[in-house]
Amino acid sequence: MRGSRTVATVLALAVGTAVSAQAADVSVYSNTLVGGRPDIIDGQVKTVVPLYQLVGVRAKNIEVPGFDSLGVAVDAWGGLTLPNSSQGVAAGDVNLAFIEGAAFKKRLKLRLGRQFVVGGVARAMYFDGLFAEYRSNVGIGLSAFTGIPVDRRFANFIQGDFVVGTRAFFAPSFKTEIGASFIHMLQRGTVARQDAGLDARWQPFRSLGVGGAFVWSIADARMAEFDIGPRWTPSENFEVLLNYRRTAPDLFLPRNSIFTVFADTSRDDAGGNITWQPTKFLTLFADARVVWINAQPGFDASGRVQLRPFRSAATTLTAQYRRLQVPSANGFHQARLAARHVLPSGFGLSVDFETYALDQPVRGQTLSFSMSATATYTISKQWFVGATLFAATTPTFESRYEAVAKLTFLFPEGHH
Amino acid sequence: MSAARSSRLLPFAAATLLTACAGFVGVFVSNQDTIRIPHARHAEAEVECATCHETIFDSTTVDEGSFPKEKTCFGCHKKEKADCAFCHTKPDKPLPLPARERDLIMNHSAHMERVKEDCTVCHKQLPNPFRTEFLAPPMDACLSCHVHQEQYDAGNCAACHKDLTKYKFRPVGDFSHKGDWVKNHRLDARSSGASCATCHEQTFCSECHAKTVAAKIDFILPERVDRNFIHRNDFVSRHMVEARADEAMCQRCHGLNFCQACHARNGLNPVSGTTLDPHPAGFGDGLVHGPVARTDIVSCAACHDQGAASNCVTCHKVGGTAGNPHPPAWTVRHNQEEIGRNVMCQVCHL
Repeated sequence: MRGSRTVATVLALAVGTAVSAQAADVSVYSNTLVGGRPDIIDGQVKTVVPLYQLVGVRAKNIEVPGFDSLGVAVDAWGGLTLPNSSQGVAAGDVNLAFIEGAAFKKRLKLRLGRQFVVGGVARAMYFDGLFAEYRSNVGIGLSAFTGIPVDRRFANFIQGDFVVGTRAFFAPSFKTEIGASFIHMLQRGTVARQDAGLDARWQPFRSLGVGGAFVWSIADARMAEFDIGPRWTPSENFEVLLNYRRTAPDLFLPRNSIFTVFADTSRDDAGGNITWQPTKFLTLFADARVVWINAQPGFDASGRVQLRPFRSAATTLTAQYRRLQVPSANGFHQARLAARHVLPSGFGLSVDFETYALDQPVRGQTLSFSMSATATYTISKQWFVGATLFAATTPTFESRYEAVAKLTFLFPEGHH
Repeated sequence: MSAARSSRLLPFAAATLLTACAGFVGVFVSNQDTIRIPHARHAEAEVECATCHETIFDSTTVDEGSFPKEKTCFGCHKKEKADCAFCHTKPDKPLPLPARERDLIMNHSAHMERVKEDCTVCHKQLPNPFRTEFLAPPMDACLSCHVHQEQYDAGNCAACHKDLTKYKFRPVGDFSHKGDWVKNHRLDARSSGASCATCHEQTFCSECHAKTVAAKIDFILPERVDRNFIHRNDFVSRHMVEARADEAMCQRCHGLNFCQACHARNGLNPVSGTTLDPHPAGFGDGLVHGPVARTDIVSCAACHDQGAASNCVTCHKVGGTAGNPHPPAWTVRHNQEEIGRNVMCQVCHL
């Protein structure tokens, strides 16, 4: 599979570096999950048992001559589904595998391997390749990356076979940053994505900030995305966030898809949310936004109350409600109640109940009910076990039961 | 992922597991013995700090440490030289003072003159008798002299902090994580990704953003019912509404064939011959499906993007039975010359 050689090389380099160098800070994460759930195989509903092993290893501040610091990260998983599943018996992948280093008083940063690049038109670009960034002492900087986009799971869909991007920025402080960026992605020699954009964040006062981004599709000579949102935080327990966003959903399709010739739709949404913590143990949150899809309005509104009734973080009660109504389509009312309580002995219990009512029936049903209960036990500062039972009756499944057990190891404690 | 790909990755997964196991072993064999260091008694006896920590005057990094060697202790404690239990809690298996993780950049040598060799200016508390993790000078001790706001404004945490990712604190002012952070964080991340990386490792981002993950995050963290995971509980039955409300959001993570593969597997397409066809009656009529395609082409593409020749263009191509599929102002943005450069154009415009 394309990209696996790159990942293999970086993995070998990562393990080699970790073994040969003196790592100042190593963290390890392991999560073993085993479950039981129904699956549709050859038109029949059968019970399958998926087993997953997730492992993450991170070594930082490795002392290597020529670098201020060097680090390696590997985050991978493997899975078996017995006796079989609709998605095959065995699966596995590498989520992250990179070596990164900083030099010249950490002004130059380099990263090689499977990684993310966050910022500007790259959004959260996931790729195998090389990233470099230089930041001067006055906050002016330039970053660039190139490599192969990582394929999405469960699909033979290939996002692209080559990507290159860059971002120039001016970040004189935490409070101010402005950037201009460009991305160019190819698939078999054809442009799959070619965007340029501007992004900015400005915080003129400690209580007031605004962030925004603008993305222009060069390939289609149209605006792909505009996003702006001021945030007002007059005190530590109160915040108001407003947001307006316009997207062209069809410009999120690869430009080498034939479907790009059929539409030039746009979607707008405007709204905001308020968070208020009248006491340390009570949080109220409300969100409301109007959605316009080709000038037809819909709305998405939700509210949430989170309470810690015993004035302690050990118990959390959550109640939330949401109403989503989409123009020329369906909608639903959704309600959820959840609670988590952790005893001093290390035992914890989480319960979750959710129901929603669709405006238009799906497969003749409008109601969905689902609930779960999870018991956990903290064996030590590093070891943690849990078991979950999930039951539901929904428009898709007349009845569905699922069980999950997990064993987690974190070293150092709580570090991941 | 294919079985072939899995088998190729197996050795590396095994290597990763071995590395993890090595970490586990390291955890269980360390920190058996502890050394008593009763600072209070030493202070009562008016022993100067530098008597034991004599290398502190030349110490330029905290990594070097300035802990006295055993022979320094024996300089005064001659009588106790044979009594290992005087200092070691497990004298039968004595170990050296364990190394401590160092997260700060700190030059003791440069500070000694400034504090006039008075260590208590910063070190208000000292281990007594056992060393713990919580007695290092608090940040307030630094800020009593250093004007932190300047470094903060300049985003220069790295001048002192090697690594902030281990802390669990959430910001309350700048980059506030209040409200529905899952939905709201994009604006901060887009223009200030480097600031996010001050506290968050890429492993944190990958839990949701990696397109290669093992399972949904709410499957991996079912106990975190306080979090607002997007796909929690019965997302399947309402996904068509959520997708219609924000098509671009789905498209960012899920490839088009993600939808098609699941629909085909569950008989939710016309080809399957079941009654679960998601299209309404009469959808083949251009007057019905045309407007839908114009306004919701991403949903069409989710199932039908199996290559240009397999779908709409069979009718919509030049000389085909259906009409011009291009949206208004198409020719303004795409001129005739593009036909020669773009293979998508050549599917219909021969």
